[in-house]
Amino acid sequence: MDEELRGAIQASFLAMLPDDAVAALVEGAVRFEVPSGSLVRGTGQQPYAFVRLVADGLLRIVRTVPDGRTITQRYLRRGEVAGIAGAFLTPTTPNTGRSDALLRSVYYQFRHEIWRQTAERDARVAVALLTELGRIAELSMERMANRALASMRQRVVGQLLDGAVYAEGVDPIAPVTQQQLADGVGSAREVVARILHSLREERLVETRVGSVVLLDAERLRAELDAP
Amino acid sequence: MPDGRTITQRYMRRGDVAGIAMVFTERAGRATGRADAIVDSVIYQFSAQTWRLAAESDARVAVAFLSDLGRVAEDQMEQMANRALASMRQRVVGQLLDAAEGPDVIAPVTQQQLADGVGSAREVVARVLHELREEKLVETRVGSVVLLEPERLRLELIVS
Repeated sequence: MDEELRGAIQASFLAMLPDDAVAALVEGAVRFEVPSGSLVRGTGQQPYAFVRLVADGLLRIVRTVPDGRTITQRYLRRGEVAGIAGAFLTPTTPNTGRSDALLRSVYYQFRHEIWRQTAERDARVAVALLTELGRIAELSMERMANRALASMRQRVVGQLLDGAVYAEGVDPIAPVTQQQLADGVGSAREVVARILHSLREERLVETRVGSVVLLDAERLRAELDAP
Repeated sequence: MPDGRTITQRYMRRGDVAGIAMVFTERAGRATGRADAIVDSVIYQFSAQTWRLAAESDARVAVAFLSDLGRVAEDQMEQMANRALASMRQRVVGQLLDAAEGPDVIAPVTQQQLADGVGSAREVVARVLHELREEKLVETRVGSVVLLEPERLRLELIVS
């Protein structure tokens, strides 16, 4: 096992498992290094078959609702694991999550099949996965509830972040008009214009014709988690 | 939520199990959930410690818990995403359902409270309530809203 993978494991919930259990889970791991803006996982009819562990950078998981709109479900940083639930869902569960890299990122990919088999024969692994899945479910639920009960400003910020396109070496850009933002948050264009004005004053965004540049995406993300 | 507002996370019907995640996260977590019965209900309650021990000693049990937890989390996430992306009408309906209590299904909220809850103006909420009244889905009183058709209102929250 290389140093980078070992470090990522130490930063994750896997650190509490005994070495032999970890070795079984990461058997056949594949390393990926991707630039900012890359698609890590697409949506599709095929169920997704991998667990991912982030070693460096920042990924996001975006959920698509039936009418095609999207919302960010979770951000993944070093030591975070995604895709555990998928290893235990029925194989027909449709794949509604998409994931992309917001910064240059390194992650490792493991096979669902191996994780399921390891959990089935080792209760320590199964209980560790339950604990982590429970933690992630609670956190994600809290973030999502926050989004559902958000103020108008938070709703606009959320739309900007969800729609932002990331690329290497430039600030993220949300390619949306004020009217699209207003439709998205279920309000009037004037309300959105007022919010964009304050965001501009606070140097959080820069507005252009047909798009909004996110000057401080990290601070904007933090706003969504505030009650 | 930390500021005291509430949102319905899940409706539970015959055969649904709640609390599996808490069995394994309770040491770190704080209870932020509350549950109440919407219609006459019968529930069975099990010891979290017994369930934990069962999972720790038998991987088949733990894997069954994992399947259920994964499925429930997936469903809830979908519902919550729908709520977060909802239209103003759906947001008002959601608030009414979240606040509703008692056998007559009354939401004890004023228009101003609803407006604060959905992050909009009182006039917008008044318009939505007017629509709902016209469609005989609710009846408005001073300081409360009676939900005449809660099951139909719940269906409205599903974005399609």
